[in-house]
Amino acid sequence: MIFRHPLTPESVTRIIRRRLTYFASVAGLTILGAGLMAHVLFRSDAVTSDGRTWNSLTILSMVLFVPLFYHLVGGVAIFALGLYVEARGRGNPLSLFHNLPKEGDPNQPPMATTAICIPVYNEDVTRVFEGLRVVFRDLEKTGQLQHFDFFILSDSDQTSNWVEEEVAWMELCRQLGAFNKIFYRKRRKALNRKSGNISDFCRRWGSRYRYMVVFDADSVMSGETLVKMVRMMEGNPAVGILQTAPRLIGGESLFSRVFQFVSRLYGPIFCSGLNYWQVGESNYWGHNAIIRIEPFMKFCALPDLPGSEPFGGRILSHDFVKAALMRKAGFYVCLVPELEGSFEEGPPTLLDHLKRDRRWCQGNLQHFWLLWAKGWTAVHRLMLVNGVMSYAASALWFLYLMVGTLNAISGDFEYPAIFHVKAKLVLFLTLGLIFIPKIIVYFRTLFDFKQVQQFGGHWAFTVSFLGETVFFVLLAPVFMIFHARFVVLTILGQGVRWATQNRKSEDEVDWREAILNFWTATAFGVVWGVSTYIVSPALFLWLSPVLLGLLLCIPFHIISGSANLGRKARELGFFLTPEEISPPWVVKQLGTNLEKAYRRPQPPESHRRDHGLMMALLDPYVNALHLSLLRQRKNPPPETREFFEETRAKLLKEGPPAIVGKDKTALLYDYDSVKWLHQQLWSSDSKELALWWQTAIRQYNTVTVEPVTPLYR
Amino acid sequence: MIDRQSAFLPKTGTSEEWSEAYARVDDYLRAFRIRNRIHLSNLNLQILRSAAERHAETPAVSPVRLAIEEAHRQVDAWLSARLIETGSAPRPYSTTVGRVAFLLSDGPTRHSDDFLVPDVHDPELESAMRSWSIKAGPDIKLSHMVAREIDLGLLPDTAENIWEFLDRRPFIRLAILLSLFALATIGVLIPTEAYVPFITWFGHLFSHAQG
Repeated sequence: MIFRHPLTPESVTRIIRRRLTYFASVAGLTILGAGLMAHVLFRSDAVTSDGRTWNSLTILSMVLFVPLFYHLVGGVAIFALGLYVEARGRGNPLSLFHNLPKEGDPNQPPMATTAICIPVYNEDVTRVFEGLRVVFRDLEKTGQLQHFDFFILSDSDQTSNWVEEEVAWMELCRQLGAFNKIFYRKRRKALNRKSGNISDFCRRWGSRYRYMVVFDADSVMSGETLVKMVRMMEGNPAVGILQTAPRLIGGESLFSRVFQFVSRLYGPIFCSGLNYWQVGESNYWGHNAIIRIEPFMKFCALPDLPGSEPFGGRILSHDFVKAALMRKAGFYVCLVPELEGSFEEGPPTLLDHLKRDRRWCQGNLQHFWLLWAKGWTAVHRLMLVNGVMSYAASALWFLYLMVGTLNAISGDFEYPAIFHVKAKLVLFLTLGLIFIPKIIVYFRTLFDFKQVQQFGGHWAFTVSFLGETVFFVLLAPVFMIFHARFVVLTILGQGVRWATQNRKSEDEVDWREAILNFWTATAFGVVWGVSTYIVSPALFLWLSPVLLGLLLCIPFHIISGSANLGRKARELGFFLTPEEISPPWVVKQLGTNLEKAYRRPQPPESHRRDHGLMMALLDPYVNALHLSLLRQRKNPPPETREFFEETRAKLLKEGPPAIVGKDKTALLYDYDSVKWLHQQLWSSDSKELALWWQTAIRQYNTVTVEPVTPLYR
Repeated sequence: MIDRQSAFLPKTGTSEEWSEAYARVDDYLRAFRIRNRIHLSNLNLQILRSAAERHAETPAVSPVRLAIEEAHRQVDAWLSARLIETGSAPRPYSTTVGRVAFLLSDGPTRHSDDFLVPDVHDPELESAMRSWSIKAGPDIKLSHMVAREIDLGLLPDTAENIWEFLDRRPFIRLAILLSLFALATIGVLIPTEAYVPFITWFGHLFSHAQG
């Protein structure tokens, strides 16, 4: 038992020592960088016409440089600590993983009732349920399945997704013999989004379980990992949340494959470093984590923030806050980077990545209010600052470059200052901090024969390493511009909608979409580049990597988003990860199942969008299933009855395309309407029905014997 | 040669109407995933005969409607008979239960030839159908999960008041933002004279245009 109340004096000493190491390194390097920069900016050999060694822009540069350098150094220090931990190997006395007794050991902590919760929102139904299938099967193999129940918690508001989820749930339960083991819950109103969905589960069924494992729609975890997580929680009663470090899998496009490669190469080291100094005060990442339900329900319900969105209102990035609340309540939040068998997927294109960042940016900036809240631990307060900084840093970097450009334009000094010897020192220090950890990891992997084979071999690994370096050099300025824009939009009060995450790759990316979304960044790059070149060609040269990223962002998005190129890269052995070379059972099986499932015939193009609605109203089995999951409404008010009568008639006469989404959803919630429409659709003469329905009815004879289900059989 | 005794020859309705009814019943039965086409044809004709008798009494109702109503009735009766144990008292029964139970008991694949055949009772199928129940969730055990206030201190309170004030007055908000932007621009441009190169540059452009 490591995490108990109170911690042993040895553990406390170790934690203090680790944190001192981290903070001292960060502070030391930040002071060094800031000192050098001050020397460069306020140097005596560069004076303005009126004899000053500074102007307002140099002061502004200095002010911007310090937090930027701190942000960089913070990451590098974590990475350095991670390298130290990895080099040290086993024997970490504060590691939950290394101190867990082996299977069969009499000291092995017991198992406990655990719910696996999978919140979904208009996700790819096939992917969600096939993921669940492999987790279920793998847990079955451990012999501990009886301790687990599964909950699909749906907030899907697209009728097709909703119905497909119901069908997939029933099919999966039937195929696995898992009725009363896998449950499906559809919320009528998606209050407070994912966080509200989990809270809703807790209120209804939370007290039946001691733990819940929260998944994302694309999460997969091995049975062994899940069992170990429960045992770690049982063995450490003071731990409230235990977070795994999920690995990225399933990347098809070049973009997702590069991210997958990078996260696999550097991720474990970074997480080890994080865990080294955070010890017990880590973050909750919202998924692939196990939570002790009782304290979670007692202390982690989220109130609204003051004011309205985007800064106030509902807390969007709930996970950081829940971790802080859990710690405030006296429970530890632990990251276990050593736990393998935890996986998730990443966005397939740059645009999808930015869409996700837009939500996260607003969520993290909201935490600004929470920085002043009473009762947080210092570490969690710092993590909230870092969360804000992860997006604000882009805006600061952008401002920093703009200020530098303006200073050059002003002609006050002989510029660029970077030609100065000390400026070069700052530059090399910064570049060193960025690249030296990468180079260490490169050689460490290269000289480890076993490991390098897991990344495709020496040659392919080297090409992948160089490729990802170029990739991120081009990507960084695009992130800078967009994150800066997100920060400004959030400050100006433009909130975000809850968008469905796209996790599937397309063969080719749409040019038009790319141009529409990225032309402003390119145009900005052109204007910035031309104006800088006119004023100072030398400065232009120094800015050229940033400008190049902006100028190329449209082709970059198109090329990196292509699944074809991603597949070709894989065939050539580039950007491979150990999970692809020797995939764990869950990953391999998931791939096989999905391949079969996606080969199923698709509904006709004209009926694809409303396929779920069609099944719920026409198919006798799906209709019966849907009805059996609905509550029958007693005595609805006359206005409601009238609305349903009108909408039903319109649906029959004009077909689903004529009905707006929310009205379709309303109809599918109404027991009487679903029943009535099933009868009417089958018994009406063809001339009474829209052509859409006539075709839909005939599909039973012409297209397929069985309706298309989202599962493989 | 067709035997007139066994042929389907409705007394009322047109052949187009009955053809449509045939096609619709065929689609409907195929929606139950019954694959045996001969069995489907037999069932279809039998349903149409019953519908034709009703049509003779109520010619105003279309054959399609009557045929599907008859199909519904037969499906309901057949499924109920399989769900209610022999000798037990009839009970209110929902057709939805029967349809789901039939599907989950592998009825469409393993017992499709028995579908809608009244006298055939397969004990294995019936017992499987009776044992099925769809439960989307375990029994609810309601608990409280109430948000506790987070003491955000003085700054967020003040900010909230200002925010609310500005939210109600969007013009003032815009004016403040513009003023801040203007002040920042002036604060940067005036001391550094950073606007000079722009003016010079525009001057060059202007003189080029004139020249």
